[in-house]
Amino acid sequence: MDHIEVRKNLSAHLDHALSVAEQRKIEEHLNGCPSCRQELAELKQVVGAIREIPPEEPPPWLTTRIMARVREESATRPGLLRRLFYPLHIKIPLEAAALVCLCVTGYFLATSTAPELTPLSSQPPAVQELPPKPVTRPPASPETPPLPAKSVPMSASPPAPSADMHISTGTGATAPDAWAPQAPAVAPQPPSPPLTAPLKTLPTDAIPPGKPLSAPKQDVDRAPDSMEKRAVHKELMLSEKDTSMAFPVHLVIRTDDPSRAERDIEEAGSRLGVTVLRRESTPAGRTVIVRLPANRFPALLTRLELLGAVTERPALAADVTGELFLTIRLEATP
Amino acid sequence: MTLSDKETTRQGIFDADSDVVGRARRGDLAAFERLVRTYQQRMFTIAFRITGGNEDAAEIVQDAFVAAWRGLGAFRGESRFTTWLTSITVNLSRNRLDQIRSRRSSEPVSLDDPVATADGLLQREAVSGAPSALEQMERHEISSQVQKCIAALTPEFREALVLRDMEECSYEEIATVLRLSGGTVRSRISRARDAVRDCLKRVLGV
Repeated sequence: MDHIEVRKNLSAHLDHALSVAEQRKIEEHLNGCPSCRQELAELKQVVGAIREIPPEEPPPWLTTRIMARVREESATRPGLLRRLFYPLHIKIPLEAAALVCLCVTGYFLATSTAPELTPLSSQPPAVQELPPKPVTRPPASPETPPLPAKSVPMSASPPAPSADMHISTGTGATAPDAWAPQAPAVAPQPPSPPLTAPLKTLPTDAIPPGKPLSAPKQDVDRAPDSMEKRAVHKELMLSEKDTSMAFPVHLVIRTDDPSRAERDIEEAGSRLGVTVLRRESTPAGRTVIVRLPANRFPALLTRLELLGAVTERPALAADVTGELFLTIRLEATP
Repeated sequence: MTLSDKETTRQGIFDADSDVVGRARRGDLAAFERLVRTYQQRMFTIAFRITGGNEDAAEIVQDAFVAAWRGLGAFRGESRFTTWLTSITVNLSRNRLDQIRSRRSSEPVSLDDPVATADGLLQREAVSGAPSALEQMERHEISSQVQKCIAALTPEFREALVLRDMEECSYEEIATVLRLSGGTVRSRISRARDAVRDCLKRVLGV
């Protein structure tokens, strides 16, 4: 190690800031170099002189002033902390409560609206025009047979976008028994006027063209209460946009032979332009669901009265137009 | 064991102030005042050595402790509290020195202004010759001359010398405070000492 390098490291050597090997090399050099030893001695004197300089005395008020400023800071500091952390004590329960409310509301909405919205949304938008046929029979498939509906001739005007929801549940408001929907089944619906009123005011050109009716297979007569009957009624009759424009009417006929009466209805219906949509066999008898023009209803009713005693019948106004959606229950005479 | 203690242990750095610092971090003003009383003179000395003014040093120390109070939450004990506080003080002193320089730059040049030498270390010394030097020797003590020579250093060398020879910081601490490598710290201390030695030789004529 030469002079230049030794002198460059003398300061660090003085502070013992060199490695052991470097320290040893410098010491070896110093042993044989008087000028470098002189240099080291002067450096020690300089460092000693610097270290003898007394520390500066701060002004006596410094602590007070510092702490005054710190207290000012600490006075605002809890505000900051409170803004950042304290609200968590409130936020977390509030958020939890809001989440619970949201879940409950969502569950309630899902359970209350899903049965109505699902069939509506699952219907194909296309309208299938079928040739007029007096009576159509459902396919042999036991599960949800798509029942073809007779096309309605007065289909010039397009269906109202939201008519399905409103009319589907309100048209049967004044049906005589509990089986027919006495009250709207869907919440967002205007109050239902008496049956005669909408029948008179509803324009006939508002009825959309017919399309296949996918009525689910369900035993109507097994519905134990009015709620269940309304649900069945809704599924049977109101899942189609076009059927929503037809007026549901309910008849109960007591007859000795419901099966024969059913055949008679088909025969009579074929002559009156009645479309049989569905037939059901129940322990109490038979149920036939038909669609017919409203002006044919009196003629059909006359024929039905020949089959047995009509125990329940609707009170329709004479000037009813449009289509009727008639459910005929044929009960065996006890 | 406080959080600060744990951090100190994890980092392998022993800090005698960890307990007080931990309490101050939790908002204990009394604990923080204890730190103020313990270190204000040291910080004041550092600020004074760097800036050369009492008023400046006092303001710097106030600002440094207030900044430390604000930043205690972010202080993780990766270095000792004194090192952290010294770093704040040195940075504030540098800023203040820059302000002083900018003020001086707009003022007329004085014969006492620092002069750029070959190694950039020394302030302009009065070309006074022996009589003036003798007068100064008579008026001032040696320590006063040493302080002048230290004050004549450029800030970066002065900072290193003050931290090492006046505050007795280790080379590692100086490297932390000044954010320099160990080799640079060693070099700066060596050159600063040489400059002060040369300055004293000139001033004292020895």
